[in-house]
Amino acid sequence: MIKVSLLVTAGPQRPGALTALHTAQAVARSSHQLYRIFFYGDGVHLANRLACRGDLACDAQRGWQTLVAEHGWPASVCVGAALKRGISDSEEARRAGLNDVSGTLADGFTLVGLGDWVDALTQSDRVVHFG
Amino acid sequence: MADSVLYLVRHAPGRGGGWRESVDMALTGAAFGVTTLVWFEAAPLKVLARRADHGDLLAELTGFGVRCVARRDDLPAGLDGIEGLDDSALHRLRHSAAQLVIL
Repeated sequence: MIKVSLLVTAGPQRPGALTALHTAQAVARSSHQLYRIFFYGDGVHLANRLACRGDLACDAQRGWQTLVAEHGWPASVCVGAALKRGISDSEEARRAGLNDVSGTLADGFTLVGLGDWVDALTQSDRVVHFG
Repeated sequence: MADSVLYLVRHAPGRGGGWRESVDMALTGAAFGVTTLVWFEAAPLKVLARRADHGDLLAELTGFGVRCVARRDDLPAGLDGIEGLDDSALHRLRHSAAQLVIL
C-alpha cells in the first residue's frame, strides 16, 4: 500500500478538476491510501458550496462536494487562496465580521495553511498534481 | 516521500494572484526544509526584468534558500539570483527532483 496525495489547482471549468476527481475515486477504491487532497489556486472553487456555473464546471463542483461529504476524504483547502476567492467557513466569516456566518465552504472540506501541503509532500509516497 | 520539489512558475508578478501563490507555496516548503527549486518560464522573466523591484521579489526566494533557474536563452540580463541553464541541465533538474509542480 502506498500513500497518495493529490494537489488540485484546476478550477471547476478545467478538465483537470474532473480528472482529479476520477483519480481520487480510483485511489479510494484501491488498496492504496488517499492521504490528502490539497486544493490550491483556482482549485479552491471546487469547495464553494454556493457556486454553480453550469456544464462541466458544475459537474466537477457537485462531484467533488458530494464525494467529499459522503466518503470523508481528507480534503484540505488552502485558507489564503480560499479567502481571496470568497470562500470561507463559519469561523473565518465570523472573524471577517460578516453577518452571514454560515460560510461558503462545502461540507467535508477543511480550511488549512500551506503547512498541510508540505505535510502531503513529505508524508506521501506519491503526489499527483492536476492543474 | 518528496524531499525536493521543482516548481515551474508561469505566473508573472502583478497579474492576479498567481505569482504570490506560487512564491508562498515554494517558500513554505523551503521553510520546512524541503529542497526547493523554482524554474521560471519566459513570461514571468520578461515582466520581472521590467520591474524596478525585481531584486526584492527574487531575494524573497533566494534569501530562503530557494534555487531559482531559467532557460538560458529566456533569461534577460540583470536578473541576478536566477541561474541560466541550458536545456540538458534543466532536463536533469527536472528528473532529479522528487516532485514537479506546474503553477
